[in-house]
Amino acid sequence: MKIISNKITLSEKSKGNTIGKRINWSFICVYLLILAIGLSILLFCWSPIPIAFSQLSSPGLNSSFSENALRINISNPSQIIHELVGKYIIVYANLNYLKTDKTSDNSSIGGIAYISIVDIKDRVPVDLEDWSVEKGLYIPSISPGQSLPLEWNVRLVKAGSYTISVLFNENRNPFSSPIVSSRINLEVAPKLNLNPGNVLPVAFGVPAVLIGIFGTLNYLRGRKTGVYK
Amino acid sequence: MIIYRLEISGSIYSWRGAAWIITAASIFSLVAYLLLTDKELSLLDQGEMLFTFSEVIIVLGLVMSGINSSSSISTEIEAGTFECLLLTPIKHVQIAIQKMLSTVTIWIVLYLISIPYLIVLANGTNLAISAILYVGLYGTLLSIAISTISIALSWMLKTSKNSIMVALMIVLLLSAPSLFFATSLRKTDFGIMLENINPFSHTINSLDSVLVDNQQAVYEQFTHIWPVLVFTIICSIIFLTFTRKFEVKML
Repeated sequence: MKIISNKITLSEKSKGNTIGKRINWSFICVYLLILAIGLSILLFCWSPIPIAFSQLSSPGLNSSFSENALRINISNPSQIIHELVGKYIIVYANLNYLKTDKTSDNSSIGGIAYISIVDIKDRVPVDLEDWSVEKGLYIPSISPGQSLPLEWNVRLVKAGSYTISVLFNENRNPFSSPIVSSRINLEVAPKLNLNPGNVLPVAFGVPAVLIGIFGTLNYLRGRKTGVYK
Repeated sequence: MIIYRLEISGSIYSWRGAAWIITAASIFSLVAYLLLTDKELSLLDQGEMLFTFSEVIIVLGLVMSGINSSSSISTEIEAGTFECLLLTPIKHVQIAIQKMLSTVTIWIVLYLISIPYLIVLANGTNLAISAILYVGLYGTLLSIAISTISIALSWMLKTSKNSIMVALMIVLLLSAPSLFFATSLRKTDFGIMLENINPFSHTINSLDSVLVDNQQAVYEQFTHIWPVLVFTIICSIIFLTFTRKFEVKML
């Protein structure tokens, strides 16, 4: 019994020590947390830092826009297009060069405008091989103040929900980010081409007619040669 | 045209000879029925359906033309009837041309059988006439090309087994880039080069552009038509060179 009570006293002592340590650590953690929150508030309020953050979030977009003043936007009247599989739609876009200074030599710029379709349901970009004959349009040059209308004929191959955006890659600066338009939604409804009423007569009729024709020919030939009497 | 008539009667008049026609019609029926009644396949656009069906027609036509013509001379040699054929009062090249015409007639019969299916598959679209005309054009040109080269092979190799094997290999080689290569491989320099020189790839790409991309005008397809035409002319020149004179002493 003595031994047991000793053990109890020892364990109680050690427990008391660990609780004390835990209390110390939790205080330190709380201090650190308060310090971190305070510092982050301070950093957000300080003016140069938000600029840095915004540059990190979309560096090329803003920089290229500010340098070139290029803007691309989809000009379809509706923000959501509803159509059936197999139909064609036209995606209209406008590439605007808002810069007004025409005096400098390198004022006009060229590049490639291309369409991007993303399948929302499968969360993958669509391979445009069967969707559009011309995926990209090469624009040799666009002058300051000029606006270029662009259009893509898109065939709706597969049913689903998609987003469409148009991008422009500038030739002059190969490392700049593309200029992106806002997105529009595309809802492609499925179209079942089930047509058993139409195909059945042909599917069964053609072989049957051919068997009939060749059977008759064979019989007539057999009658002539004396095979069938 | 005695040889031509004999060849055609052998392929059409008897039950055994006409079995291929019934089989081909059954294949067309099965493909068309599946395309229009299977729930998943019927989700395809009608242009895609027509394109798939056109591929089946062209490939079947090529295989039949290759097999039929590659055995045309060698079978006569193996059966010992070639000498009798040479004794007929017609030029050697005319014998070969009549054999070639009989193969092309078989293609035409196959093509005529496929027309009702094309019309049914194109129901409700403006693609029926284009599908019929372009399949007819490309199928006839390729059938002439394959028959001529196969007859020349049949004379050169003199055994049916070898000539059929080589003819089938030619058909497979021609169709490989379009049917077996993945899209990524076809977009490499090697793939593009193969597609540019391959008449079968031009045929498939043209049918794709007519039936899927709706570019039906002839001038839009001329870049695909002329390589097939050139291939047919080259095959015809080889055919005429090798079949001008059949030498009996070589048998």
